[in-house]
Amino acid sequence: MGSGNYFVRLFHTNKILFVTVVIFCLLNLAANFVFKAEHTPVYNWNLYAYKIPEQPAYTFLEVKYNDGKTLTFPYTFLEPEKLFFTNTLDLFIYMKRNEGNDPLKFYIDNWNTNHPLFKKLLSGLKFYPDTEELNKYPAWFIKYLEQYFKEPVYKIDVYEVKVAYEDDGHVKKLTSTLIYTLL
Amino acid sequence: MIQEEDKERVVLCRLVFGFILLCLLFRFFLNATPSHLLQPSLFNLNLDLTYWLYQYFSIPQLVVYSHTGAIAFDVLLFGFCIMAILFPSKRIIIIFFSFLFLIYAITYNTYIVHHAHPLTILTLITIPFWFKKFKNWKLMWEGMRYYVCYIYAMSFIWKAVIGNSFFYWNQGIGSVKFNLAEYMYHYPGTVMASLYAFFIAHPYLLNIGNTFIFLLEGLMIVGFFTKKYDRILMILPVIIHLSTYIFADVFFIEMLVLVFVFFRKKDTELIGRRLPFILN
Repeated sequence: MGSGNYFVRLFHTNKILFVTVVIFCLLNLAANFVFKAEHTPVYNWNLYAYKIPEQPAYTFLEVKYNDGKTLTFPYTFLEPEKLFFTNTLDLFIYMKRNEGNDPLKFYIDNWNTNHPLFKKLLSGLKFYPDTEELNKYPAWFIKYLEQYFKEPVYKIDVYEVKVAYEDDGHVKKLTSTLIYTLL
Repeated sequence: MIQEEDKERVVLCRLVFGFILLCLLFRFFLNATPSHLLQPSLFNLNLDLTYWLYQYFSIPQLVVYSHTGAIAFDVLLFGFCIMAILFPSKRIIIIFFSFLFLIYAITYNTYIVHHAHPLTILTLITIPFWFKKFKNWKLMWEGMRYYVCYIYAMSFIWKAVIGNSFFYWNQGIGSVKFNLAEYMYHYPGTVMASLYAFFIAHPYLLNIGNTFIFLLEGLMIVGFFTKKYDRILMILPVIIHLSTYIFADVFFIEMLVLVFVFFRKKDTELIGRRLPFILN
């Protein structure tokens, strides 16, 4: 088997490299099959591994700024910039709706309780954002939006839009609700 | 003068770092490098110890929250990438760049509040070039090839064994509807929207396509047993990531740097002859 030959050749060429590579392989296998957790540079490759059932309706956030212009991203290749808007806004709205709590707060707090050594070693580390970061977010979003559009922004409304697919494959709007005014 | 046996490494080094430079330039113009981040407030370290250390050692204070630091970081990132292309034998430049790029990848993931993998793969692929002795480099590069096969094979195992989405027939239509609802709402009159609508109205096509793509991931396991089909294995990631680009609205194109691990010696020799400047 090719990989078998590879490890034998690696062993005979450089034993330190051999040990390093074997440890890396074992960590990867353990992370994926046993712990189901990742610590860079050991990753889980589980994107789309879980079922995505069809839903009767789909909900997303829509940002309208200035005179009703909409923040949209027509091309997928804009993703590196888009995620700064969409992901952070999703998190911001989630935290606003949950008394300023980050979705990972309870999970990480619980993990730290079960692993007190890490908590002690990393004392003073801020593991997740809280109300301090939450309050700074609107000002950052405005600056980033102005950088994106290269124009001053004087009004930002966030809507929650709910759509459903029709039989012909197109979508129709069910509701659009103003949920937050950032500026 | 480049030694004969070193030519393969030089060609691959310049291809890999040239690709990374293009990715960085692309991200620079999309305001996605530290000098454009404008001191973001929300972050996500998740349960990743490396990210915890990144935060613990106050690296964000230096490369994100200091305006001068952020600009200096961008200059260093681009500078070292260009130097790695110009001086592929200077290992210290490559090692330094790998760490800079790792910091960039962690920074990006931290402030998009989502831990994506494509950028960190770009870091891993630079590691073989840390090695001076040709045979060490060759073995690490070959190891990288196995790692690439592992990534896709493991992705298939997750879907077929751990997460079970492979056996869920409606995964294709479910995924497309979920990922493209926003696009379909904002751009209803476009050619792409019409195409998506056609597929959504014929879900069996999406479900077949989805299963086919999952199987292509599983096929990468062939690379563990033989190098005979490397020509085909080289094309599979291109098909996989193009299909997710079109039908799942996700941008994994940067992962295509992994295609270089399937280049054979004669491929690099051909590139060296066709593009002689790559060996200067």
